Amino acid sequence: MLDYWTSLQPPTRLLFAIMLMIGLILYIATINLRYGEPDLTFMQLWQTLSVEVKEGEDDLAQFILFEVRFPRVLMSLLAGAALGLAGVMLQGSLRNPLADPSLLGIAQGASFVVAMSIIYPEWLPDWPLPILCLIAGIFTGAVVLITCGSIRSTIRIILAGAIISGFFATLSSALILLAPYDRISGAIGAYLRFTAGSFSSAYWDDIYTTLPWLAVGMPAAWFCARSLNLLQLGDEMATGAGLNPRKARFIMILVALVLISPVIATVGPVGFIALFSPHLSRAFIKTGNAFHLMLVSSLAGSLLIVSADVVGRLWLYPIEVPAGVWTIILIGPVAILLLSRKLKRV
Amino acid sequence: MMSDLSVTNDQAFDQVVVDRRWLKWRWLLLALAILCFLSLMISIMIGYHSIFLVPSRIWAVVSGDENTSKLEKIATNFRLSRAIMAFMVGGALAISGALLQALYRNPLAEPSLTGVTQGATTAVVVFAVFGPTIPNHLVIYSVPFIAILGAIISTTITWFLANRVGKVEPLRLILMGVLVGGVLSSATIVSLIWAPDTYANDLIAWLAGSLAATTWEDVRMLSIALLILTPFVFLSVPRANLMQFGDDIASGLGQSINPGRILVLFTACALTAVAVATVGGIGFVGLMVPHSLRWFVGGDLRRLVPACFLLGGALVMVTDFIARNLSSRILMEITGLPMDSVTLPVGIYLSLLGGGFFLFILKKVKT
Amino acid sequence: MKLLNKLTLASTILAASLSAHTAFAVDGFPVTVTDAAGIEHTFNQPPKIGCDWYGCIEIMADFDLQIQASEDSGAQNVFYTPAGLPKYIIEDYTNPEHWANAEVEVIMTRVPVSDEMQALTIAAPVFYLHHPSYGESDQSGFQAYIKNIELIGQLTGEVEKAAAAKARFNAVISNLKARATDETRNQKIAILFGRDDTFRGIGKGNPFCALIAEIGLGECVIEGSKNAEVNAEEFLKLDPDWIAYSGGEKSYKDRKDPVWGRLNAVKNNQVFDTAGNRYYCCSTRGLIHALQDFSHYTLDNDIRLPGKLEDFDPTKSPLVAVVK
Repeated sequence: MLDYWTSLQPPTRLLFAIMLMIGLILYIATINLRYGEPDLTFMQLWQTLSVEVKEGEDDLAQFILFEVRFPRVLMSLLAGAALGLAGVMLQGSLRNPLADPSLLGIAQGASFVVAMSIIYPEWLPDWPLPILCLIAGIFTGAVVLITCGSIRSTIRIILAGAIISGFFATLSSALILLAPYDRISGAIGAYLRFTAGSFSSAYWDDIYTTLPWLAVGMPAAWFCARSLNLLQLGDEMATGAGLNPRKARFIMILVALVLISPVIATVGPVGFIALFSPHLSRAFIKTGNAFHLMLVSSLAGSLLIVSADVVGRLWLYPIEVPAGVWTIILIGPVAILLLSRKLKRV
Repeated sequence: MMSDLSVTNDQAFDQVVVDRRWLKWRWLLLALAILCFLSLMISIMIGYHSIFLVPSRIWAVVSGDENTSKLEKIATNFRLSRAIMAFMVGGALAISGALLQALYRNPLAEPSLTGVTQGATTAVVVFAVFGPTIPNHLVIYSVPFIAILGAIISTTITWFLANRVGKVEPLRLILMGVLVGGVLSSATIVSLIWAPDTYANDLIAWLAGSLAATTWEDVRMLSIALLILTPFVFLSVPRANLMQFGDDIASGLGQSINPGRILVLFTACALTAVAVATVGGIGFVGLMVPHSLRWFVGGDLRRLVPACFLLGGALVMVTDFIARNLSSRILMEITGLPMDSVTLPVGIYLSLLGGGFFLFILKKVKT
Repeated sequence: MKLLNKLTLASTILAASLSAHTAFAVDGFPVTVTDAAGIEHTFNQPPKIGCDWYGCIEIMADFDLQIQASEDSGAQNVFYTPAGLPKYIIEDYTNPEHWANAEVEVIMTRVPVSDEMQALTIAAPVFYLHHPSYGESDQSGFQAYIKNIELIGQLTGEVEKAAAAKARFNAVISNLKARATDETRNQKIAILFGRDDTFRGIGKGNPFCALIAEIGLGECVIEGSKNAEVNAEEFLKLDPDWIAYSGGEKSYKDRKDPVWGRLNAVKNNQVFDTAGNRYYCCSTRGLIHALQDFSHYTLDNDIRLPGKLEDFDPTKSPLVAVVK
């Protein structure tokens, strides 16, 4: 079976992988669209989707489907695609298998910004959150680059990232400990929910906030794929092919941040998706081609998040468990196992 | 491999350097002991918003003189227990860091960067949130075991995974350590979701590393734990000393690598875990202290470990003195934000200081 | 180790001697009280009380007694009481010196027993009050707060004031019970934390929910006693008649998510921002304040709003005044 899979031509494998993932995504998304309050049968789902929305008519099932479940599923797909793609960009450009927003400190920086906005809303209204997260990300990147000198030393980047995560996590703890009791009561739950990453309040608004960023980031990522392929050959080869590795890396990291920031700002840093999806994809389609990898990795990200969200939404229904809880608890260990093989080549 | 002759020459040269270092070390140890004593005295004498104790009054309380006021007794007891606790915690963490650095042959190795601290904190938090309720008087004695267990499990996982594809190699170990630590600390925060709000707040304070709740019982518990671990440290030092020159040399000298490594790793884990169990996730002491001492005394652990114990102790003691006396009112006035009037845990100051130190040296160190 | 033992011994004797000094006999003293954590405390005369929790501060205000010292949480400890502000403000409540400096003879907090509080016993004995939904307290619901009044009554020797405070609370309950109708009994209530666009609220097990159910002012719709987040669709189906919004610095008016706009309570304008953020906590004084706020909206607009909890005088509450 496995031999047969590896014996296939790369494009065939890619096609199969894409079809399989789209199939799974559709299956799980349908579960998420069908169950809840009210539960819908396939027929009802189909009817509700196909019936035109009439002016003035007030149908609960239609409202739930179009205004609650649909944006939630869509947001989880978008977030997964963005994180999966950003993972490929970060890991490829830093040539670092451990590049992930949570391990590089970007997620903790964003969590600090959000903790600030939850506890002191009069100081920090929520509109600039994606921009602030982008700034936190750029800050992190700058500190990593300044302290590491270059991005060649994998271990230095990881260590600097770990330090910056610690730094922001410390600031967040200090903020929570300093906050007056009457502000913190009820706010800790909101903060913890965010640090995990949850889709329970993802509506069309959040999609409208996220889309412009992704509309810039996703095509930009696609344009970077060729440079990413060149960088894999080594800096000398890349320079020979007419690429400025420094500049290319800088642009790629920026694109990855543009993809990550809006997602983190709206639904939180859904843990380890950006770390895991590229590795899963690489193990699956067995290619290093960035074009293929980007496609499959963004699908893998979507699949992982939409599954985590189904579990978080329906398992303890009506109690919501943030999707990020499942990605951290379930994907974390698997990511470690998968990476333990990868790391021998570092 | 070098020829025998050159080795002898090198050794002769080394001998001179080493002798000079031992001499320097004695002076350093004396200076560190004085530093410890001074910081202990300052810690006991000064208390924010409270009384100033002159040494004679402190002595009166310690020697059990009847002629002391309640406030003097309370202040001395509180400050002294907290300072001793800080000293032991700092010493344990610094030694743990020195051992790990030798083991991983990486001057940046640190309990909180190799998954040891996170293993301990995650175990304690998960047990506190999901575990069975244990009687209050037993908590203080059970937590260290849970922490040690957690630290050992997470370190073993790291070890096993790094080992899976061949022999344990330092670089891979530290990468796995960061990864395991990252996953564990995310899992810790996430498991707080199931704790009631007020409890979550307490756990966040504990995770940040606080000495505020120190009692004599804690001091006694930690000192017993450290006494039990002392023979392990003595056994670990020569083994770790060989390890830091590299696997090849260590095996060349006829030491079987893995049992020795396991001993050193266990000692480092247990030292960190008992400290973490009592005060929470204090980080970077194991990095800052051995690293700065290596400039003075070199890499020989026989010199480094005692010096680490003293300097680590002094560092945490001084930082806790500052943490205990720095009110949030200052911060409140600067930022203009409403805040509770509290003092922040010592771990917050140490991790900000340590983070800066780390980034400062990261560029200079060859990994 | 010898030195350590000596010091431990000294501190134990010290804690004991603090409560054991005799001056003059007071009626009913010496008194032995068992606190919510099951710890016995004996006092030869009314101790000087230091408060580490709102529940304590509020009951002391109910008794018109001056607090010796209280933890500093901004303006929250400035309660309306003729007896005046606490003598000392504790700047760092984890520091036993600060409590000792304020000459506190007992430190009052709430269950569960914590290391942080136990470490303060070096300065003064720590007395644990009941707190529903936390710790091993055998009291649950709002009865826990009544039990707290009794405990502090015994401790201070102010039995009459305790009885008066209890009577006041019972009067409020019976007054409101008399006005409750089948319509109010069947009202569905949701009390939400509005920090984000989720539906996270206090559950049926909470004292305030238990209280309004007992009185007949409505049933809380969210299950359980933990503050869990409820799925938006489910919340829409729960369809509360009234929503009390406890959003900190945020008002319900800031809320824009589509499910919110579709809730019947929102359409019928039956939503209000709670007065203060401690709707569900920490004493009968707090509960009367919350009840007055709550009944202003859901029962009768003529019951005036209670204003800030800090300025609230329960004896002048219309809910009490209507009695007889």
